[in-house]
This record gives sequence, structure tokens and C-alpha cells, in this order.
Amino acid sequence: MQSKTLSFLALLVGAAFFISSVYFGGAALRHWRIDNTEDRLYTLAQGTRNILGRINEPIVLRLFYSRELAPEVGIEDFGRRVEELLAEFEDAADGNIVLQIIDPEPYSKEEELAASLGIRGTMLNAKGDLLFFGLAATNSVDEVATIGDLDPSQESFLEYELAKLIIKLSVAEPPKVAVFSSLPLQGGQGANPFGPPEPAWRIVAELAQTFEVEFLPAERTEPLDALEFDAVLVVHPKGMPETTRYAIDQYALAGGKVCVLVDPHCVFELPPPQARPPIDASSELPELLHAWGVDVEPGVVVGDLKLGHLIPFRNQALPFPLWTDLNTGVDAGVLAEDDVVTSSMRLVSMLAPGSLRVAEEATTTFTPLIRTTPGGRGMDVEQLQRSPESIIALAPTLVAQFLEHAEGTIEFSGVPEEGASITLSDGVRAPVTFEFSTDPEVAEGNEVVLLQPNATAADVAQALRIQILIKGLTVTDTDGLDLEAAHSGAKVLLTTREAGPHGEVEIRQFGDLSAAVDGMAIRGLRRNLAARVRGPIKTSFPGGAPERWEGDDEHLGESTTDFNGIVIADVDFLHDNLCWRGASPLNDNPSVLINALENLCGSNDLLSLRSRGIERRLFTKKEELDQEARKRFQAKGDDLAKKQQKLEGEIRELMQGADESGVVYTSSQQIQKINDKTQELAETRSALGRVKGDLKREIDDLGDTLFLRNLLLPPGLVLLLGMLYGLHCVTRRKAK
Amino acid sequence: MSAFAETLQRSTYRSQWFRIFKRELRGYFTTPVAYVFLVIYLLVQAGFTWGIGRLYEQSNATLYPFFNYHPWFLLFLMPGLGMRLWAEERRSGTIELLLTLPIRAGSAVCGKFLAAWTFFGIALLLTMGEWYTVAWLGGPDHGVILVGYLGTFLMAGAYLAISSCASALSKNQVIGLVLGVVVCFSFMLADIPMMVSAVDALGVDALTEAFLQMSFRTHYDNLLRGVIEARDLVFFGTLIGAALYINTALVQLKKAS
Repeated sequence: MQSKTLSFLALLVGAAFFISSVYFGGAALRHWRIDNTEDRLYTLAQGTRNILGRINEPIVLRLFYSRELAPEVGIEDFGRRVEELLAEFEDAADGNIVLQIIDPEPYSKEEELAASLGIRGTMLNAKGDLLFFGLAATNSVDEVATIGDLDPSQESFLEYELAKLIIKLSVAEPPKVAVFSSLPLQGGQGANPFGPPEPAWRIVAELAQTFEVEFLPAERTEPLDALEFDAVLVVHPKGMPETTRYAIDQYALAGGKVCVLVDPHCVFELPPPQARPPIDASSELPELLHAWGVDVEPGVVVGDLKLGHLIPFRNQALPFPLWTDLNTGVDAGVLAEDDVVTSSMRLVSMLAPGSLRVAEEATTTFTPLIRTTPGGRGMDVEQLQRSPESIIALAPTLVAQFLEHAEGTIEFSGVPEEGASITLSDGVRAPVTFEFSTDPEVAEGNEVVLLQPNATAADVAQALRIQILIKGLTVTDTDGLDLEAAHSGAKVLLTTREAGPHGEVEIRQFGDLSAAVDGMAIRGLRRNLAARVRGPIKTSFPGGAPERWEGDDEHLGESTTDFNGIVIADVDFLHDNLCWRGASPLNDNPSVLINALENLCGSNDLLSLRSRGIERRLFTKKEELDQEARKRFQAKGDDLAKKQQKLEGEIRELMQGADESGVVYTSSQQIQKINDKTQELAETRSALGRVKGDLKREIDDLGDTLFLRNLLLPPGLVLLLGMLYGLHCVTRRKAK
Repeated sequence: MSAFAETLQRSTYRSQWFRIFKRELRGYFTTPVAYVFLVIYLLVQAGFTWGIGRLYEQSNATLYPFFNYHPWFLLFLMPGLGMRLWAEERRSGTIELLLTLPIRAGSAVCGKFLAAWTFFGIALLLTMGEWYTVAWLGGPDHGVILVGYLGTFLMAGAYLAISSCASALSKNQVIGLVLGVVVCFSFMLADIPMMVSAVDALGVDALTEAFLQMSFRTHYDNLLRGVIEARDLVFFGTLIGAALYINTALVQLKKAS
């Protein structure tokens, strides 16, 4: 009896020890943790901690999250991550953040609350399930800031977005931006003194939604107070007075943030062509930008044939290289994916932008935000300025120029052999193999273009364009350098002349363009159209304040904290015509400026919150093998598919003698032939099916092999070692 | 046995547990039972990882499918390993001998437990092939996997400590096994959505939170993220400590009676 009591007592003591230590020990050591993930996914950045530490009034964060529905759309992992991150925010804010996680039931008070805070559910299915996944933050004066729809693809910016939300609520006033502009952004008389007054640019109203915008007169003789203005925006600076430049210089050195928009050729500044006095439509700010580590290539506008906006020209859609549609769908590298300013953008349109370069001896880091494709190139801006016509009328000339300079010459010598190698001259690093098909059937049915020996790349591109137009591909594929289209099988007839035994003969062969175009595309460098600079800077006024300067602040020679700025080499992109059609936005253009200013106006803590590298880790090996196998089977499959097509054609021909009722009058010989062909066709089809099956099987086989290895090898090893040990024991015992 | 008894008598209290540990650990490899356990464990984990977890098809470079099922099949395997720790000694009567020796019951309990835990650690090491495979297939986050292994080892330790305790209650190994599974399972209840919603329905948030805090799964999942948190270490550590304390009390009672 006593032993039972004792064991019961032991159980009680043990359980009490366990439960109390789990509760009290766990709670006391709540902040003790080691984040062992490679990207420190579960550790708040120092910038976030600083921001949270400065909150001085309670903020309520309400996460509306239909947790049970999350698996249906595959966001449960992201959902967990959001919950955890919010919990971290709550912890780090030291009681100033109250977190509520709410799963709104249909027709409940919570659902009403969500709606009143501007968070709506998404209809998931026919049952009418509503998925809520949004965040609303309110402060003590009931100001609300929301993220209506948390997006898993933006996971790496989650911390930044949340921190921004907190700042929005904990800072009472909207950020204040000072604007220096040579353009009538607010409306008024344009460059043509005789024309009607122009309306205000819509971007100004857009900016006013987020910022307090103050337009300053061109001449400023007093310092800009870094405490008064959160950022300075300079638009199209033309002959900016020295004192204004000095004010901006000192403002930047004192830690102020500056966004500069310069343009070698501002199309919308020009008056209409008929009433045009020749005016200089360029702007620059060389000394200041140089001091910040950025040079604008003087007198150069940048174009990109691949990104050219399609304009109608003589019943054709012509890509206009100077009107660049920076589309991440065409080239993922044009808008920086890893910077918060551009990461969520898909399309930005610019008109005759300039080219930015890192200045020599720059002390700042230069991060490109917007770039052309490697095919982008600069051209002399004078050509545009000289032209009496509108820039669009220049399109055909410009396209021709771009094609001409596009990329070197393709040189053929003699008759190209099957598999001959052709080197694109003029700077192409890797010689490309130019494979020729000698099979006349390949060219059958393809419209062909004659291409002479020593054809230039422009000829090739032009030929390709015609090919694609004939083939009726979509308009976006008419871009002459589109590789995808080139791979779709455009052929070019190459003709050469050679001395034969009976005099000169012409030899025609069909060549595949894809290799040539591949070679062209690898050439060239991306041109920078917008960039972020950050780092220590020096003054561009080493001699101190200029004359007429009225401020009596001490002259700053060097920056006290890191300078933060964004430079964009275009102004046209903000014009209504390039941003909106009617009320609907055409692209992400307005966001470029709004994001840039929002980002700059944020504290340095917020700026430090770079994107956190969260990516889904995949089996790269499997994908490699997958591609390799696909390539291998492709060739085989292509042959078979061709054979199938040919047989189908032959059978159709044999059957063509059918009368109206579909009865075919044929000889028994013909019937035999049709039967044979049909038989062969069936075999080809099943062979094709087998090839497809093989492809899948090969990939599955690897999985099976790996599984079997992991299933059998370790136990096999254990058994082997066990037997060896057993044997060892037996022999030892015998020896004894 | 007598030689071992003499050695034990001569050793200090501190090294007693270590000698028992060594004897027990060596004992595992001289019986076929251990090999059977290893083979079963290795087959089962590969089956769950590749068959049910679909590691290959999911294409994610993580070992999550491997870790994810461990709480469930270890629920049976660890009591299987722990059931013989004391029941065997009691059935064969060797416990009398062990306890007549001038050693602390605590040393015996710790020695036996640590030997079994180390044995499982060896089994776990034999699954490194999975890690290698995933590393070969793609670039996993090795830090996360390392913490995952640590979590699995800790959870197995907790299962084992409970099983060892259950084993000390009865001469019959089967009873020890069933008891061990039942107690371990009760710590897994919070992983069953039905149970959570039942507790949640009571409407006391603190109770739901407490219920979740008692769950193996909650703490194990925390570790699987790749973050080592004090509260998870405290949970598994004190659970092992408490179970071993009760275990010692039970053995001492046996000695006294």
C-alpha cells in the first residue's frame, strides 16, 4: 500500500516539475533562440527592431485569415510565416503592438469588422467559401492602414511592407516632398509661349495622395531643412541656378534623400511640330550627380529594338526602339526583382531615356533599378533634335539604323557544309554553330527569303521578320530578334555561287536562323535607365557656398550619414499620355516615382530592410535531368512526328479519288498501298507515344532508383555489419 | 555478471551510470533484436519518406517528408525499444541482482536510458543517406535539416523516457509496450484536429494554448523550421527529466519491497 502511495507521489512530483518548467521556464526563456536557417528567416532585421522600438502609442494589428481554407489555395505555409512574423513584431514592440488573429466565419461580426476595415474575402468555390487573408492596422486615433491581400509571391518583402504599415500609423503626418521642376507639372504655360496653357500632369494628384507636395521656385538661396522635407524631387533640371544646386548639395550631405529625373530628350516638353522654334529638350545636373556617383552619358538617348513599343506603320506593326516597353515578360532582367521599388512591377514605358553609368571614383554603391536588354544601344540625341518632324515619324529610319548597327556581319565562305561553323564577327564572344538542313523537305511549304553571302545581321533580322509575319505569329513576336520565334523554325535560303565544271553555278541551301540570332543576342550590355545610389558622398562645391547664398549654416564638405538617392534618366514616362488611357493605367509608370519617393521618405531603418532572400528550394538536379532527357527525346520525337505527318499526307493523297458520297474507286493495288501506309502510320504513332512515355519513365526511374537505394542500402549495411560481428564473435569463441 | 558486479562495486557513483551505459550499449549489438529494430526502422522511414511523403515527386529540396512522419512511427518504435529496459530485468530476475549491488537506482536508470537513446542515435545516423540524397538533388538549407535531426533525436528521447518508465511498471513487456504507446499517444493528441476543436469548443483560450503547449508536435514542428528555441528544449528536456525521475522512484520502490 505504501509503495503505491509513494509511486503515486513520485508521479505527481514528476508531473508538477514538468508542467511548471514548461510554463514558467518556457515563458521566461521565450526570447532565447537560435535561428539556424541559412537566410535567417525567423530573425527580425535590426531596422525593423529600431522602427518597432520607436512606436509610442498602441497599434492593433488584425490579421484576417481563413486558416482552414488556406490549404485549398496552397497558402498555408505562407500563412504560418505571416502569423509568425506578426508574432515577432508583437514581441519586439514591447507591448505597443496588439496582435489579433481572426478567422471570420460567414455572416459573423468578424466578417463585418473585416469589411469595415476594407478587407474583403475572395470567393473560393461554388460553395461560396470566402477566403480572407489581409491585415488591418489601427492606431489610437482610429486611423487605419491595410494590406488588403497578402501575396505569397511578395513574401520576401513582407517585413518591409509590415514595417511601412507600422510607420504609416505611428507617424502623424504624411511625408513632405519638395519639388524643383522646369516642366509645368502643375499646369500653366508650356515651352511654347503662344500655345494654350497646359493642364496639370496627373502624376501630381497621384503624388498628393501619399505625400505633402510642395513646389519650390527655381531659385533657392536658403538651405533646405532636412527635418522639414523628407525628400527632394528634381524634375528635368535645366540650367539650375547655382544656389539651388548648393541647397540640394548641402541637403543631401546632411542626410536628405533626393530623387532626380533627368532626360536627354524630353519629348513632351516640345511644342507641336508645326509651331516649333528649335528648343533644347534636354536636362542635366552633371556636377551634383557626379558627386553622388552617377554620370549621365551626355547627348545619348537609349533605344532597344527588343523592347520597342509597336507602332502602326504602313499596315505593319513596327517596334519603335526609342519607345521602350520595359516588360518583365520579354526580359526578366529589365526591372530589378530584388529591390522594393521595382519588384512588383511588370511593365514600365519610357520614351527616349538616357543612359546612366557609375561615375569614376564613385564613393557610393550604384544599384540598377531599370535596365534595357543586352541589345539596348545608345544613339546621338542631336539626330532627334535636328529633326523637324515628330519623333514617331522618325520610326522607320530609326528601326533601320538599329538593325544596321544591331550586330556584326555574318560571313559565309563558299558553300556552307552541313554543320559548318560560322562566326559572327564584331565582338561576338563565342562562335556559334550554324547548322544547315540539307533535307529539301524541311524547306517545303516554308516561305523562304533569299539571303546573299556576306549578308549582314540586319538582313537576317529582316528576313526573320518577314518569315514571322508570313507565319502569322502574334504581333509581339514580330520583333526581329525574338529568339523564341527564331526557334519556331524559320528557314532562310542561302544562295552561293561556285565555279563548276560547266561554268558558275548557283547553289541554294536552307539554313536555320536560330543559331545566328542566338549569337546576336549575347552581344551588348544592358543600359541603366534608373538606379539607386547609397553611400558616403562629398560636396560638389569644394570652394564653399556660392555668391548670393543667403543661408548662414556651416558649409558641409562630406556627408555625415550615408546618402540615399534614386536617379531616373527619363521624364516622359510620367506624362499622362504614357501612363494612362482614360482612367485606366497603361503600366506601372506612376508607381516608379511613387515607390521611389515612398522608399526614400522612409527612415534609414526602413531603407535598410532589403528584400529577404526567401525562395522555394527545388530539386535542381531533377530539373536538369528532366531537361536533358527532354532534349534527347525531342530529336527522336521530332523525326517521328515528321514521319507521321508525311504518312498522313500520303494517305490523304491516295484517298483523294473519293466521290461525293465518300466512296473511293481504287485498284486493289492502291488499296494494298493504303493499307500498308495506314499500318505504317499506326506503328509510327505508337512509336511516338512510346517516346513520350519513355521521357516520363526516365524521370520516374530516377525517383525509383533513389527510393530503392535509400530503402535497401542502409538495412543491407546493418545486416552485413551484424553478420560480420557475429562471425567475429564465433571465431573468437572458437579460438578460446 | 560477477566480474561486472565487482567492477561496479569498485567504481565511484559517478562512473556507475557510465559502466551500465557501456554494458547496455554493447548488449544491443550482441543480440539479434537490435538488428531487427534497426532494419525495421530504416525500412519504415524510407517507406514513409518516399512512399507516403513523396519526397521525390514534391521536388522541394527539404527533408520535411522525412521528418514529418517520425512522430507517428516512432510512437510505436520507441516503446518497442524501451519496453525491455526494465520488464526484461524483472522477468529474468536480474533486477534483484542489479539492485543488490551498492549502486544508486538513478545511475542504473540513466545508464540504461542513455544507452537506448544512443542506440537510437546510431539508427538516426544511418538515415544520413536521405540527407545526402536531398543534397545531391538540389540545394537544401542544411541548417534546417541539422535542427530537424536534433528535434527528432529529442523527441525520440522523450518517447523513450516515457517507455522506460512504463516498462518499470510491469514484468510483462507487452504491458510495458501498450502502456508506453498510450502515454506517448496522449502527448500527440493535440496533433489531431478533432481533439483541438473539442478543447477549443470549451471556449477557454488559455486552456487551448496549454493543450497545444503539451503537444509533442507543436514543439517538434517548431524545431523543424530550423529555429532552436528555449521553450522547445525546455519541453523535451524536462519531459525526459521528469520521466526518468519517476522511473527511478519506481525502481527504488522495487528495491525497497
